[in-house]
Formats: sequence, C-alpha cells, structure tokens
Amino acid sequence: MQSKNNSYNITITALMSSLALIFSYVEAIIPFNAGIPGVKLGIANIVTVIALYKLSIKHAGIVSFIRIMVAGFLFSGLFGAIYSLAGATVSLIGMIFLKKTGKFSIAGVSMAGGVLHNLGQLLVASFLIKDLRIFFYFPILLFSGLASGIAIGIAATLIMRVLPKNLHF
Amino acid sequence: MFKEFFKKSDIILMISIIIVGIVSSIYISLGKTSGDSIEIKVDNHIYGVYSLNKNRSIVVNENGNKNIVKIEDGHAKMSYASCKNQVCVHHSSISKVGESIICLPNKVIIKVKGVSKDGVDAVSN
Repeated sequence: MQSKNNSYNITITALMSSLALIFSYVEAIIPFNAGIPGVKLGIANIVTVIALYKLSIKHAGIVSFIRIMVAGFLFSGLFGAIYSLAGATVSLIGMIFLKKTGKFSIAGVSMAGGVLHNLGQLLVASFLIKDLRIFFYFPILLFSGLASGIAIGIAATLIMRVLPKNLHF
Repeated sequence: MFKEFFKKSDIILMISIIIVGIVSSIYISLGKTSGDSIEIKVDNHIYGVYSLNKNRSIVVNENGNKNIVKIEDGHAKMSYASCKNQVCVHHSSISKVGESIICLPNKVIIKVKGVSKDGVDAVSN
C-alpha cells in the first residue's frame, strides 16, 4: 500500500510539474511584454492552484518549486528563478492561509496569490538591487497581480469542474 | 456570472486590494524622491552636472560673476553669490528631484536631477 502511494505521488507530481512547465513555455514564447518586469499572466499558476485544491499543500509546493527551477534554467535565467521562487513562496503561504479560513472561493484565493506573488518578487528585487525606488512599481504590480490572479482563479475553477472529484484513487 | 466565482469575502478582499493600490499610487505620485545629481546652468547654458553623493564646492566663474555651490550630504546650496540681493544664498538647501535654486542677477540656476534610467530594469527578465 505504501509503495503504491509513493509511486502515485511521484507520478502525479511529475505529471503536474511537466504540465506547469509546458504552461511556462507557452508563456515564454508568447510575445507579450508590458515593459515592466513582473507583469505577466502566470498561467503556470493554474497548475499550482489546482494542485493546492485537488491534491495537497505539499504537492502544490513541490510542483511549483520544480516548475520554477526548471523553467528558470531553461527560459529566464537564475535571477528570474530567484524572483519567481520568492514570489511563489509568499504567494503559496498566503493562499494556504486563505484557503484554511474557508471563507474564500478559488478565484479569491488565486487573486490574493497573484498579488502576493508580485509583492514577494518586489521584496526580493528591492533587497537585491538595494534601492527603495523600486517600490514605484508597487501599484502597477498590485493591479497586475490582481488581474492575473482573478483570471487564473476563474480558469482553475472552470477546469476543476470537469476534473474528477478526487484525483487520488 | 460574477456570483459563480466569487464569494462576499472575495469581493471585500478585492476592494481592499484596489484601495491599497489607489492610495499607494497617489502617495507615490505625490511623494518626491531624492535626486542623484545637480545641474548647474549659467545664462541658459549647461555649466556642469555634479553628483550629490560627493561633498564638494563648485566655483562658478562666468561673465564676471562668482557663485559657489556647495554639495554636502546629498544636499546642495548656494554658499556664496556675488550678486546684490543674496536671495539664492538664503534659499534653503535642495535635494529632491525638480527643486532648484535660482540666482537671477547672475543668471545661475541649480536644479536637482532624478534617477538615471538604467539599473532598475537591468537584471530582471
């Protein structure tokens, strides 16, 4: 029984990670540049949100960690990976917290996740660059995180409706 | 359509995030930032650009008039002017982007310049 669970976990994590990686790739080849670092759709986070709801906190964390590291080395470089990792950590902690309260819908949790993701990135950026003027970006990143978080949340809601009730056997 | 995806607490959260965003953008657009350098103009010609990070005195000797600009701890002030009214010498020191001291009789203008554009966007992708 234990070994069956283990192989299930390895498989589902690998599957979700590669799915998220494909989303990262799709986003990397879309020629969309808002001119401001950090403003992007973040469609790979659909996978994180679904993993958080359908699997577990642990799955969501591991999947987003693998996705960020691999995508970082493939597409955006090490610095991009550090930013993303910080953003994802802050965002995941926030989403777990909001989900635990039970008062928020998937779209709401994802919305907070999007905002927190950008805030985490901004904090790391201000730490790395050592220049507080970077907080000029704060309102822009706040609104872009809000919009992308809501979009991701709605997408995740729609996807989860057609998924089986429980991804575990 | 809307109620399909959102609960009441989602809306409250959303509105509070939007309020924070609006308030912070107003705050940022109002707040001035410290400048990087000062630009000295004499008779509408740029005399020189000097960093605010280095303490120094700049002697401006143009058209038979003498002005001394002093940079100290990121602030700039006119410490001497050969003009009669001495308005510029009594002007408080400047450090924020866009602030200026003008010595009208000698046609000397000191203006604080902002951030150089590079640096912030260089790293992230």
